[in-house]
Amino acid sequence: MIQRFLTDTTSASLARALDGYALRQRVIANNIANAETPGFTRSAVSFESQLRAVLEDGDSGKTVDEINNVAISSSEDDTNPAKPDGNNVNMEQEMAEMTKAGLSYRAATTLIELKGSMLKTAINGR
Amino acid sequence: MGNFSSMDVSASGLFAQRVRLDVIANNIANAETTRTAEGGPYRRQQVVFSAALDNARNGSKGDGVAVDGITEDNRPPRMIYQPGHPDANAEGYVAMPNVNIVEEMVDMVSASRAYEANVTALNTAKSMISAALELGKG
Repeated sequence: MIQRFLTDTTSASLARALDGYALRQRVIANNIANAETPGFTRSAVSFESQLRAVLEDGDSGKTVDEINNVAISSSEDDTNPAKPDGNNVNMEQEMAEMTKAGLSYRAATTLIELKGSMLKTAINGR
Repeated sequence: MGNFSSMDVSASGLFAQRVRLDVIANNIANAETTRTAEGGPYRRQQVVFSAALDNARNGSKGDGVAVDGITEDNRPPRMIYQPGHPDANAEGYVAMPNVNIVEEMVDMVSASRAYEANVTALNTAKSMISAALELGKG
């Protein structure tokens, strides 16, 4: 039971989400550092849709492994129009997305903490 | 992936913007300098940035920004009529540096805002890492 409590899909997906948000923050930091580099194209990190697809698939037996294998990928994003120097970093967008990534990260750590305190309650009986 | 590599990326951005500010300050300080070691008036300098990328280590995630070098602006010097100046030519014109103070001020605001953006990115990384470290205390 405790084994299941620690390796269930919730914990696995929270851990995977932490990895994803951390990489997103790093990639956005790189976009901000290169906000004035001519010809630079911003990169973006995606993983949420793959993670959601795995979770909606059900079949708990193999889902944890599948969650741990969800791809967290960083790829160039040229949807923004480029400035005359070929750079397409939009500082407002980067700031907003970085704040979102940071808050989502904190939300995930808070949820992991809550799971831990539930287990503690079960162990202590109060 | 190193947990702290995001901070290195932001640090590279801070360094690049500080070099840019130094160069701008130097341009403003020398806006009226008519004598240099190479002869002639001071020439405006500018920094060139390039994206640092260590593909072998990071894939396409990027490694921050690098200062590629400091180049001279080859726009012609400003010619000012000032016959009493010791560096005036036969017609009474002095070659002044090709520094435009307004341009430098605009650049300076942009550099200092970019610096602040990198500080914010660094602080976000710091608060995320602290949140992860708090996990063990519950």
